[in-house]
Amino acid sequence: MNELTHPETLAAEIAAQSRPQAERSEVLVAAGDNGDHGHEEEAGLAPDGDHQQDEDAAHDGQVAHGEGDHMPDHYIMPHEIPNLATWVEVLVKPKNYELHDGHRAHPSSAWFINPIFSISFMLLIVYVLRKTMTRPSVKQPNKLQVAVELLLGGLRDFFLNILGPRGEKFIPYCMALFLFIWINNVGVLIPGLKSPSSRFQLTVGLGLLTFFYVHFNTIKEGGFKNWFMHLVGEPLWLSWLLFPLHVMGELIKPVSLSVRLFGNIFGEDKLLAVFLGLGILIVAVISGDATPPVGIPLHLPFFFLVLLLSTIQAMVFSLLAAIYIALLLPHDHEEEHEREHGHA
Amino acid sequence: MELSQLFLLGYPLGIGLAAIGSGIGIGLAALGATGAMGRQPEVLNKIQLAMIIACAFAEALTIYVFITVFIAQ
Repeated sequence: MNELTHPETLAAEIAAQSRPQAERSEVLVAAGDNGDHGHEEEAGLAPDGDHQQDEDAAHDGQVAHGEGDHMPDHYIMPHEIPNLATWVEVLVKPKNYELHDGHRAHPSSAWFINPIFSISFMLLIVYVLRKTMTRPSVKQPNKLQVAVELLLGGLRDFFLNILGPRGEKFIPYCMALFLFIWINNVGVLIPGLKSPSSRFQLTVGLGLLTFFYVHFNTIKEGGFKNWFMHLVGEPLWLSWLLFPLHVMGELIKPVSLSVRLFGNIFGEDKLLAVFLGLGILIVAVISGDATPPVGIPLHLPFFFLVLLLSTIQAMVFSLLAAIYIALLLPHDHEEEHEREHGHA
Repeated sequence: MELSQLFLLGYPLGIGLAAIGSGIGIGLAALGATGAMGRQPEVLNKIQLAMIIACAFAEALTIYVFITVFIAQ
């Protein structure tokens, strides 16, 4: 793919397409082409590379979608909801914010700033809430305390159901996973922030953490021999076939966990960004102004979808982690006993 | 030129095809789960849990395609 689309040829194509005052639909295709050669335009306010002069970048902070002294002749869909880091990035103009071949080079030297900032900010909110709003007391619990206890109690029962009484000590990990991922997923709902889990780094970290946690605890619980024999499989004469399969199955688990979470949250962010851009595009088409100051908030209904999907994804991640733990726990007759008990 | 535009057409088409498969899968999971819930409302929680896990697995396929498209771009 990369050999097919050289930056030079693409730049020439895009320039050829957008020079004559083309129709908007055609130009939008060109705008889609823009991100086609690995440049990863992170900033939603990416100005048009062809027309953008270096000194124009200082003006971009004022308008939501890049505009210099002269009007750009078309509108570019944002790749990301404008947030604090992209504003700061455009205002501060870091070192590698420069043009080559008429295109902006990798615009985001600050790709890690916003997730870290968002995580810190939201954990600060949690900390402040915990310090100010709760006065935990056994005798006179207030409404908030009762609600939180109800919620956490339900969550605990939920995981206890999966892990069984043997795995009770793993419940705090799963609950912490759930709460952390949920807080990170809904970050996009706070203006100026971004969901940190729409970055691959965070989800891969969580997947690897779960992987090592599960296997470390399995070895610690059942001993190295049990863990190894679990990988070898049941009929010993088939182990030459089953062992690689089991190892690959274990290795694919963190990959699938992290890719699922990343893809969902990333997709949500893209969805919001696209509908935000659509609302602005409609106003731009109607008013004839290429960069209108306001847009129709078409993305607002999707906030509820984001809230729902965030909860589901956080639950799925922690649930699957709990199931992986439960699968690898040394199982004995207790489980069958419990099953019989449940039937009776 | 033609090839890059073909790719531009192919990426959303691939996501759409994957979404059809995932939609069928999630629909089947929900069909079975709602039928089972109607028959045995007393084990509703367990059925719901299994359904959500199955839906997550079915949905993951579309997500994989989505990510592949974004990496391939």
